[in-house]
Amino acid sequence: MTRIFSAFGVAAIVLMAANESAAQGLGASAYVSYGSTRFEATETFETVLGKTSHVGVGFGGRVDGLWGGLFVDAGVSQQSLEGQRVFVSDGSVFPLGIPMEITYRPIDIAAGWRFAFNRVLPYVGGGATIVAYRETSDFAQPGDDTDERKTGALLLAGVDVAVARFVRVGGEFRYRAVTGVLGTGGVSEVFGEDALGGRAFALRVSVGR
Amino acid sequence: MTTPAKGRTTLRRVRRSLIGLALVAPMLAAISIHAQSGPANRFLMDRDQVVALARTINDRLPYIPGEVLIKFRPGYGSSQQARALSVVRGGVQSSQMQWVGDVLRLRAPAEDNPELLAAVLFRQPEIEWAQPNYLSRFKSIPNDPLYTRQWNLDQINMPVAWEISGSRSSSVTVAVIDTGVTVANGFEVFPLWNGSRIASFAIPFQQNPDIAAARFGVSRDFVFWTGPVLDMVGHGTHVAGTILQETNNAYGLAGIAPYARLMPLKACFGYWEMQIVMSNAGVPGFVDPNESGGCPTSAVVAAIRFAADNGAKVINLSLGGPGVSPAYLEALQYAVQRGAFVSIAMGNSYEQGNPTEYPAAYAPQIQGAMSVGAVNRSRRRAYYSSTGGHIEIAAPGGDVRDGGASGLVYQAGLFDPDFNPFTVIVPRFDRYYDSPLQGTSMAAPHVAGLAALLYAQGITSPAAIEAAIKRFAIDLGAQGFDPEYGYGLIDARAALRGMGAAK
Repeated sequence: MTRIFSAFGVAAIVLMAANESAAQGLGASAYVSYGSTRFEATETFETVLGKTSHVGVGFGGRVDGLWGGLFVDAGVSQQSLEGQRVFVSDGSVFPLGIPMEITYRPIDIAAGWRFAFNRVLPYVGGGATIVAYRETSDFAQPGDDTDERKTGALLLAGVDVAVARFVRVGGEFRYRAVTGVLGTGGVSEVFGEDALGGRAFALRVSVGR
Repeated sequence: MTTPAKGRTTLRRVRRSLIGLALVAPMLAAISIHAQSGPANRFLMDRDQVVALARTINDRLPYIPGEVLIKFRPGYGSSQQARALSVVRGGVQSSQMQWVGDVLRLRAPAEDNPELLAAVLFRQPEIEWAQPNYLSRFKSIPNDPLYTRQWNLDQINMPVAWEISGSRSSSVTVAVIDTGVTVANGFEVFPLWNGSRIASFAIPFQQNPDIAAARFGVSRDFVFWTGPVLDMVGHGTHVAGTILQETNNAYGLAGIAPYARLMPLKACFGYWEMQIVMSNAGVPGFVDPNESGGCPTSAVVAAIRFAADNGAKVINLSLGGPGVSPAYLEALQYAVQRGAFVSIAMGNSYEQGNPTEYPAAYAPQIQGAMSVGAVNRSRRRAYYSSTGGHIEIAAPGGDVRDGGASGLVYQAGLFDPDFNPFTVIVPRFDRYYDSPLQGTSMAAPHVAGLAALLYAQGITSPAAIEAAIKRFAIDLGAQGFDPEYGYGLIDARAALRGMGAAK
């Protein structure tokens, strides 16, 4: 996590030094995203889902040019994942054939700085994320399923390329650092993994000014 | 899936059975003129063994006089083994020896005290260990019913567990090493002492009607005869019922793993088996009816190995005794290494000084074998249930002091009045009723049944089955592990659901 925060700091300094035009006009845009999240609790998700990353869609909005390159961004994305319950003993995993479903929905609120290099618009930012985590499975009784929200830190960086007057496409990386749902029970407790966040890479299409 | 309610029907059946008993008794007397047992089958005990066993019962000895179990150290050949045995008073003939796996069962009639003989043999350099051939007792206490109710299955959350498991358990074989579960229908002709002479009687047997015949797998008698396995005590039948009696079939009572296959292995005998083998050996008289019989260590060990070698994935041992027994330890290790989970009754002697009993005391040493104590319907330790640092888990065992008859564990059992030695000269074993019992004998099969469901669900390692049962147990008594409840009361639903990512 420290390396990720350091990388963001370095990127911000480099971009600020190279920035050609910090003064940008006020504008608003909406975006949709499609990308993959790699969960930080890799052993936990590998065990119950058979994979450590999953694709999902998201959408959000952004207001740019609040003060120079300052922007605020709010977005939500969602992954729905299916797996099965297991038992883990001494490192061996025994699948039990009981279906389970995980819904992972982060709501991100961030502020950052957008730079401008002609049509290329890189940005970095940070903020907060609220991860809504829901885990349900067959044969559950009251209290068995999980439906919780936890707040954590968010870092984001990306680049937009203006392809038309009001259309930008780009790629974005988001890192969410959240704890509190995992690690106290189930497989995550066995593996000692309490990180609910992860790294998300997404393609974005923005419409607006 | 729901638990079938069946009480009134059963009571009507019992009343009809009582009437039937009165009608059939004269017929049995008439049949007694036939005097030969089946030519193909032979009894497994000769006269000397019968006499020794009768002494064990009548004198309430913990072992069979003159019998020891011996394991030789590896690398010693037959001549060196013979040298070690030369210390036995009166010498040793081959007819006195029987191998059970790598354990030698030695009969030395000239040396009456097997504890002394074992001590002498243990000092020989060729011998790894020697022990008396103990007679373990089965661990139930019979009682009379007023009405039936299987509170025990609700207590461990079986209704949802059955929904989760479905019919998966059909792939699992459970060995019940006990007094047997009758596998034959019809009459067997046995000799019996009738009070004045030894005569032969045709005795009727019937399979438990609440376990489908197709679910019976391999069976074997290790203690009585070479014929079909027959239960003449009712203990094995009750234990097997808890594990796998038919469920949701609108008949009788329910069992925990109602699709599992049954491997009935008879290693224990009771009053009637003793009467028969005594009569067959020409020994007149009655053994003490108050002593219900027992399970020679040699027979139990042979049955454990047989079960493991013949595909049993779960073994139930509702038996035990206070004698330290390396033979038990090695047999348990053998079974678990071969992939079989073993459930063992803790013992019922809490109010008799709470002695440590074996093989239960070995369970903590073996990941894949569990010692099981009993709780009552109030989720408190049953008054009889032995305690100690070696208890691992608790399960319903019944407790007449907590709710009277309704606090007992009900399963299909042989109809007691048909073979009560105080009132019957010629028994019958062809009628069943809702039999109420209590004991850690009744608790252990709850764990065995759950183990069968877990195996069928996908937890195929005995050690992992033990870990799952412990992890999902409902903590009782002092927080965490304690010597009354171990890790707590089994929870079938929770264990079968296993783990998600967060819970």
